[in-house]
Amino acid sequence: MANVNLKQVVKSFGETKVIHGIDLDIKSGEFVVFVGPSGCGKSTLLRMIAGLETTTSGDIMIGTDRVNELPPRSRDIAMVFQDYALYPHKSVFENMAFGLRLRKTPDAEIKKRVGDAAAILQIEHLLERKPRQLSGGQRQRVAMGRAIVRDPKAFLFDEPLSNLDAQLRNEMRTEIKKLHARLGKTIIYVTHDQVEAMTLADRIAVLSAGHVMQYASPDEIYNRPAAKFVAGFTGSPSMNFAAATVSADGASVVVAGATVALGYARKSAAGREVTFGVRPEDIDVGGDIPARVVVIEPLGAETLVTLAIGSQNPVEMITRVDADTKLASGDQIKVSINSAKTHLFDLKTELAVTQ
Amino acid sequence: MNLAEMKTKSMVMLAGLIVVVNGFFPAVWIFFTSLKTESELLQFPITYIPRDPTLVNYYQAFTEKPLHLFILNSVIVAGASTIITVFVAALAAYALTRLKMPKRNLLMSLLLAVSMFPLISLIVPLFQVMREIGLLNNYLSLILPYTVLSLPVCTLVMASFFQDISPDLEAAAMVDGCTRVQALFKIVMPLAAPGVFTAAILAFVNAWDEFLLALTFLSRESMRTLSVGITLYQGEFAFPWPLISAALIVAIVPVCILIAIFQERVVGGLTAGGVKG
Ligand SMILES: Nc1ncnc2c1ncn2[C@@H]1O[C@H](COP(=O)(O)OP(=O)(O)OP(=O)(O)O)[C@@H](O)[C@H]1O
Ligand SMILES: [Mg+2]
Repeated sequence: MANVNLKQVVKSFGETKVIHGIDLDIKSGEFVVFVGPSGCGKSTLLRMIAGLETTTSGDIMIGTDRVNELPPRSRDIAMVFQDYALYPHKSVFENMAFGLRLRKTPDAEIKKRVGDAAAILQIEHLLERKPRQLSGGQRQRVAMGRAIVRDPKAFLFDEPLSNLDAQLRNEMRTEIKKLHARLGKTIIYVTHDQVEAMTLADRIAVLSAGHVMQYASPDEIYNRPAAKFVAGFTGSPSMNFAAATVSADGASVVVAGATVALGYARKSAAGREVTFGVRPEDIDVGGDIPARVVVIEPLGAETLVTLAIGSQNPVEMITRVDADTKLASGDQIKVSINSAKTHLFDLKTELAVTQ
Repeated sequence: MNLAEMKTKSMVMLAGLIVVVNGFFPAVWIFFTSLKTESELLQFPITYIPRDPTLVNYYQAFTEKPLHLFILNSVIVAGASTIITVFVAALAAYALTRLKMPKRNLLMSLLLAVSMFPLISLIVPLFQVMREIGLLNNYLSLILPYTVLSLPVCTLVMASFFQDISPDLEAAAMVDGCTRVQALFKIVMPLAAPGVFTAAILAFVNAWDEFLLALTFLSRESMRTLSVGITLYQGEFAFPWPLISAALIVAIVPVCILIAIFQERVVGGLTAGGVKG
């Protein structure tokens, strides 16, 4: 078990810089998720930690050692790949035993460790099979088994669930969380699925174009996003944005002609144009802001309602309401916005305005 | 099945038949000849199936010339050059497919170009070199050039097989504890077995068949390889067909057996499939 530290890590492929000086400290035993849109550099960063990509500059520390120059085999990490990367010509047992055999572990010890891992993952009955005789979910378990038998300092996961169907994905997500609780090992997990990130992580690093936009707990990321990008990336449906003007005292904004109070005053933005943000669940039916119902999308437990909010140039925003709220498209209603849960973002930098 | 489909099918069958007959007829004819006596061979009308099959030609083939030495020499030369070729070609193919390499495509085309060099243009300079370094009548004088000549094609064959193997498999192996070379030999090569065997067969048959260099560089009779040795049976005036046929069959059989064994592995490797984990 070990902490992982990245200091000013940079990666360039030829002329193209894809990782722009990332600093991250990952505590021993922590579950950290790298999340971000496709192509933002999550896999590259993970593979640099694994030693599968060279590091152009900066330091990668595992435990107290700087590992930049070490090959993957000497870093004592295990990795689970998106397409599982099970050795097709080896049985499940041999897939899991491979790393131990390379380390000249005695046979009895190998048997015991593979057996234990198989028991944890409930794949004992599959040990004699070849990978091609397994279902996707079973392959996933074997790939995790291969990682845990080695008892490494840290686990790296690269989108391990993206090839599974929705139900299996939820199942395996729970499984991974249980595994982390049980083993207490450092895990670095890459995904582009914000739900996976929110449910699994102790801390989330939101990446965009090779930069860390925010590195914080899921709660912090969701409730206090540091940038418009982070706010837009989390939650489903994601945060509503609208152009707004901050009042002279910084305590409220005007959005499409309607005045919305802020949770606390933003003196630094007083009188300026900003981007206003509010999550769907923080818009409630009933209040004093005029709105027209545009689209209604029932989801069963709740209903998504697209509203045109405001009196002049109304802006479209999505809200969630109870399934039994009676609304029809075209209805003119009044809504309120939870001031404590309002967000402002600078127009130019797109960073959160917090003062 | 409708008429058009039947037509296509019979055409395909016919084409296949032509290829098979064309390929096998000479071999079968040689085999039958090897079982005939000289007098039966000269009879008219000709007999197709030997009327009175005999193994005497085989006995003579081994007693008149040191055929067993020719076989041994061929096995040593072809075997050694095949092993070296496969080993070096595997490393080269791996480098070409996996490592970041500037001008990779240019290198590949150069390989192809080199493999098309006519042998005859190399023979004089090679002879000079072999004489200078004292390798004439040494197995190495054939093993080295055969290896070099087979390398380009074998490299390209293996490269095309390596290309289909997911790089994540090697990444997994390296994280598991392999060096890059170990990952190549423990994971990539077994998965590319059909390609490796194809390359091995190519290299082996090339070396087994080669005549010009063998004739020039190994001139001592006890060092002759099969392809050259077989020509030694013809006398100045006589051409002992049955005897030469018997020697030819002896030369063909090991290659057939080898290919039959490898074929099994090649097909087995192909059907094992499911490289995508
Ligand atoms: N070998 C390479 N050579 C050049 N550019 C590369 C290479 N590998 C990745 N890149 C570039 O680096 C950037 C980051 O790639 P990376 O695979 O890390 O993205 P990702 O965040 O994992 O995306 P995804 O969610 O699609 O897997 C991309 O713009 C990609 O084009
Ligand atoms: Mg990726």
